[in-house]
Amino acid sequence: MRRPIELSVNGVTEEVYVEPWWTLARVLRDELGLTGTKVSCETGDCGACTVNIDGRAVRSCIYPVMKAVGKKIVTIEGLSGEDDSLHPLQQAFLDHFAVQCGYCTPGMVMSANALLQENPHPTEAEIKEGLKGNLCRCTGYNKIIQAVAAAASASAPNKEN
Amino acid sequence: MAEFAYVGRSVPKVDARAKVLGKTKFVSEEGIGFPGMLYGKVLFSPHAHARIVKIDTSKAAAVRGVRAVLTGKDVPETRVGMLIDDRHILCREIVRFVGDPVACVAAESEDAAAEAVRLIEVEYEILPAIFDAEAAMAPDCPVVIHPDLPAYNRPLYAYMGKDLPGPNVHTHHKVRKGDVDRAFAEADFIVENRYECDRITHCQMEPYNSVCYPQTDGTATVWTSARLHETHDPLLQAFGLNPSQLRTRTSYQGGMFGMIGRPERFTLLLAQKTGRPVKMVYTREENFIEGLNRLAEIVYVKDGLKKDGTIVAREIKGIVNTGAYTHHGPLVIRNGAFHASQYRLPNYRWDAYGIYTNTPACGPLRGFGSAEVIWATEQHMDLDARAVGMDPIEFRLLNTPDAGERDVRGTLVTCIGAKRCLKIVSDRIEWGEPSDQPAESHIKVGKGIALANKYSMADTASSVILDMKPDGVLEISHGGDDCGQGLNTVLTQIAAEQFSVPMEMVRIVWGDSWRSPYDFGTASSRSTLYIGNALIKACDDAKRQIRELAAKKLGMDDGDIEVGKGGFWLRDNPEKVFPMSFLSLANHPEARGTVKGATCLEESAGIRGTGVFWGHPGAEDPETGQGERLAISYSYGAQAAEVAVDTETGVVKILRLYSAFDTGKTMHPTMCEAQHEGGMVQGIGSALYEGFIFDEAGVLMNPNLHDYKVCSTGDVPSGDDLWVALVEDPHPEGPYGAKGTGESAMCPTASAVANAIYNAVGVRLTQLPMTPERVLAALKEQRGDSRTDAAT
Ligand code: FES
Ligand code: FES
Repeated sequence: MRRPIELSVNGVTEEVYVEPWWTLARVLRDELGLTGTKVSCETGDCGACTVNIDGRAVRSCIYPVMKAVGKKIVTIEGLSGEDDSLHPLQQAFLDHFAVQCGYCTPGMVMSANALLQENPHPTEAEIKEGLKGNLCRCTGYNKIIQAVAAAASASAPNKEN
Repeated sequence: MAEFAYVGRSVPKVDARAKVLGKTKFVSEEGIGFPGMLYGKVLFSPHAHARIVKIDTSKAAAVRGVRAVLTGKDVPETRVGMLIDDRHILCREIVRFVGDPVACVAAESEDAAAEAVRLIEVEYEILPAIFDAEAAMAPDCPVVIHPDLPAYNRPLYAYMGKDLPGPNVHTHHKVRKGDVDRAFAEADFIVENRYECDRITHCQMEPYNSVCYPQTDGTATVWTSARLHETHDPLLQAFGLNPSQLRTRTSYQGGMFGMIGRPERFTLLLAQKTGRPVKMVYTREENFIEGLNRLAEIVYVKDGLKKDGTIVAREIKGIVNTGAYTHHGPLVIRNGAFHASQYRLPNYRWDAYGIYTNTPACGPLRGFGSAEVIWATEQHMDLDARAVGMDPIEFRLLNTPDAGERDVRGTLVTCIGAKRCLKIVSDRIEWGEPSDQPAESHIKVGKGIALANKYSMADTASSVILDMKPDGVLEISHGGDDCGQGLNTVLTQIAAEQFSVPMEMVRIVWGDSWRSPYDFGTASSRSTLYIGNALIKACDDAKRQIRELAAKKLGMDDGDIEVGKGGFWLRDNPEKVFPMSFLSLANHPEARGTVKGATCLEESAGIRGTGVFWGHPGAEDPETGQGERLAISYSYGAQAAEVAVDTETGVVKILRLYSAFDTGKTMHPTMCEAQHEGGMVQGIGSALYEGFIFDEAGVLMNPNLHDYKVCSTGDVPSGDDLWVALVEDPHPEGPYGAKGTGESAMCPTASAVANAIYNAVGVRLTQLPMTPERVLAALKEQRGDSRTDAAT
């Protein structure tokens, strides 16, 4: 039986009817239409579905939705500002060509966001450690690591060269 | 060289902003919340080889919400395929691998569909199965997987169906040049070895998925997360439809790497039967089993050498396990021979055999034949160099052809940056200087290099439509795919360059078989060259039309008009740019009030340029594999690796990986570099981690991203240690001199790593992936003083 729950997503309280065994990813995508959160493996192995819960990076594909009640969920949609102004991490991903197909990108950005909240000035090794759970098949990671480092030092280069 | 405003510059990637915002609509978002959507699910065979005795679907059909349960008797009787028609949409009588689709279900919810699939009862009569390609190849192999093979239809490259040495051999591709036996007899050294690579898969991050919407007029729209063309055409064939009965659509794909649409045949089948829209998203496990993976290959290489280091003969025998069905397999096998154009080989014999086994069906994957063969030949080049006592780089340089020579197949070598690339990576890795060894004596560090090429087939075509809108906006329609590599950005650059307009004035429309002009699709490292050329032709066509119309209207000569900047101007007055709307019907001198908004022209709906680029392939001689023009371009390049081998654990760590490739012309330096970095890391994955593991019953044991390891940030060098150089040796036929480059970066990586391992610890790993277990086994064998290096 579906039951009503309240979720705090991107600063808004949403009422949704869910089956108690549903994952957070399923509710975000199918019930709330927040499809920026991607699902790729559904076994917790790739990080595509990463969102932030109370500031920590969480894999929403294996996170029971009932556990998320009463917590603050932030998805990729909640990171940008008014009129789609980009969060510094999103801007850095753009500037550094850290996006190819972009399917890993939302999860990657949310993992990086949690990392920088915990450690605002990580070393390259710490960035690599922090993003270890997020797979990207396209980029080889170099540009992603550079983007996160740039966002951390808040000195992103010019868009064009 | 001319300076360009957009081409060759790292302009913003047109799709990146929506992607970082999480707003890009991938196909996996298609149909979410669509009213009346059904969800599809497939029942896969649990046996590697069995006869279906009986299927009882009654319990499944009784599950609440189930709308269809379909089996082999519900699918067309004719077999389909790409080069060999050897497969039904659902198995009708025999299952041939663990994972062969037996039935499919559509239900109101994913949960109901899964429940129904569980309740389908199938009675099987188990048949003996065969998994090993060399055993399956035997003329008297007791297991025959496709007894009707001789009668199967071969729509393409049928000549590869001759001289088949056994009943499970479906393909034999030959290349012959010179007198190999005589050259071997006269050679000073003969070097022979055997190499093997396990099966790997794409692991594109967006899982295979599809939605099909049946339409009230009897047509259907099917969405695919794979390539447009390579999904659309097989569906037409499988369902006996004509192109106007099926509309295939796609969007930005979440990665590709060669993958071919899979669930579309089921969503279409289920939608046809139920009259309802059907959505399917494969689980990761289904991605592994049903995806058409890179085939497993055994490569025997024999080289004949002169004392001075020249290769006088090469013989290759490839035994290719394509699994239970062929799909692109025979073409992958054939294209493996393209590797040979890399060196000057006066005498050459190539025999590659495609073998059916009771393992999952294979297909295309980045590198398409080249990566598998180069894995063997580029280690072999090191063995050769050792045999003749030369440095591996000197040896390669000596045997690398120059532009103007004919390659092994008879194709003219037009541009080849191979030597430059070798020099770049060898300088950077300080070739000749021994690696620094760490204090821990069980860690050994060494360097290796490899050369590679990746062809682009000549036997393909692209077409582009360019509409110039009244406001000067350029709308490009193409039939290729943007899977993240940046095709839409590159086409935007070209159009902006051609018309001297900002990139914002260019709009791209693609991914719709009813709207997009014909294209072979994004494959074979071809999109920039083919679609770029077609676009330039379309631009020329549009400009010509504008010149004619403007000249007529202004009473001038065509030659007096220049086109660009969102409009046109008179050659002698470039300051005054006429807007496109100057030509519209609304501005006709006789126009009255009611046509004021008319954006069409007086005699046509608008300016529409079209362009086609075809590779004009030369025929291939079936007996010798010779052909004047089989590939349209080759991307040549080299990589150098430095690795650390832990002799206690067998773990190999890549310390540095440098790559240099010849792009002809780099259209977008940063995107190209990024694509190469991705290819190198995929190459590292194939070298060290990725491989299918089957149990003795043919069950895939690692169909998930936990047990099948894709490189993560922890496994790869980064920063300056993962480094790319792009060399430009312009291709005479390329747009701005560019040629394809998408696949090449993956091709030399595994051999460069293997050669570095040899340099570090003196053992030669001949099977991919080079796992710690295999490294330790090789080290153990070495301690037993029986080296695996055939050249010693
Ligand atoms: S989809 Fe959640 S970790 Fe892969
Ligand atoms: S950009 Fe494609 S998976 Fe990361």
